[in-house]
Amino acid sequence: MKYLYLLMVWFFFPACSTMQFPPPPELEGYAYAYAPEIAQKCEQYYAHGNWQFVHSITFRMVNGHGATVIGVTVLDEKIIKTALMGVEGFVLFEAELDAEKSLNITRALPPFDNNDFAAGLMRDVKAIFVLASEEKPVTAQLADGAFICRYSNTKQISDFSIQSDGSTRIHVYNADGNRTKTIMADSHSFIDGVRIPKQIQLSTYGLQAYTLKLELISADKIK
Amino acid sequence: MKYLITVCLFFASVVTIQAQGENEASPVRVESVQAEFTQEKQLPILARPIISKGTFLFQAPDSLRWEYFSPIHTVLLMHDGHTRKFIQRDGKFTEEHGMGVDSMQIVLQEITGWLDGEITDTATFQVKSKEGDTIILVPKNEALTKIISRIVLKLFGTSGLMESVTLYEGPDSLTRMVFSEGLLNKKIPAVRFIEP
Repeated sequence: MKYLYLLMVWFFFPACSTMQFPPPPELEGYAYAYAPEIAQKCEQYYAHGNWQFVHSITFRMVNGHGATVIGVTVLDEKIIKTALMGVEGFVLFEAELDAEKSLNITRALPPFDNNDFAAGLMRDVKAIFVLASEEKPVTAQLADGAFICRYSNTKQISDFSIQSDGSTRIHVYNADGNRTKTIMADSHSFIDGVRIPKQIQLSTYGLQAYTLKLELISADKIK
Repeated sequence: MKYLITVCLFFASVVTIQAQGENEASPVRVESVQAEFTQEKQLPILARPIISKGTFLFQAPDSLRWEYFSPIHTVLLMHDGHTRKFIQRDGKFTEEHGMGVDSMQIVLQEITGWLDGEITDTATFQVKSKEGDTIILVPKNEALTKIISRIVLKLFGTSGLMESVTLYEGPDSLTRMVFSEGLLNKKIPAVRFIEP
């Protein structure tokens, strides 16, 4: 039980401290511009329209403790719906985030009945499933062959890269250039024209670091 | 979390409800139960239900093995006063910590009560209605009512086995377990309740 509360604490302080990682790579030395073909490659990794994803999600903290739940993510046009349930099926948490970033929690059992937890969870869900920005990214091909799409705003930089082995990385940096989050995805397969990863790992850094490992159970485009 | 564990184990316990036999006045004691199950999870946000499959083993007085093979291979074990949960990753079982063991043991007391032949009121639930092979239970506690509105048990004739259990969390949110291949009072090796 106490570990679940610790998980909550982790979510309450999302990436408020960071480890020392290299700052976002300078892209000027490469083919630095907006290249539609690279932007299109990046977009192929994101589902558009209505989708339902079911994952097993393993929370892991720096001390090695954690828990496994089943996570449901529904992309319904501009609305993100998510639910966490125990392996036995009992729903622990259910919420949705609409296009105006309004969070509506429909079910939250202790210790998940906290708005900060919900906000942190939805931030992670959004970072995994939704393109960081609809604006045109800065694109480049790095020396190691990786393609990169950089989405920036005043608060953060999100670098989405496609490695030469087909896996993907997202590095999120704050306004100071410190890396706050990394999302790695691999073992992709095409489902309805979208590259869907079998495995996803989200890591945050610092004293409240945590790791989420997502294993795909099902991905369905909702007609 | 306490309610989660309570509900999980409630599921575990209802399949072991005392075999009533032909004559309800003289129930036959259940020494062990084995069954397979298919679980269907429905939620308003789900376009398609989540289907899980597993097996259930119970040996009196308080040994339990509740195993899901899919979509995630997990094993919940209760034996000799200890409760443990394992999850399979990369072909190996890892013990999961952080479960509300105290709550599990509370529910185990309910299991024992049912094994004594009572499908009636317990500390947590009360019978709202019983028609034919269908029994509807509702929580006694108002707080629990907000989480579980009702539980519908469907008995498998007079065999002493459950046909299905449906737990309603809300108007459109439910978990239904349908049992099959049930076996009563067949000896189960103790190791099945000790090792994943």
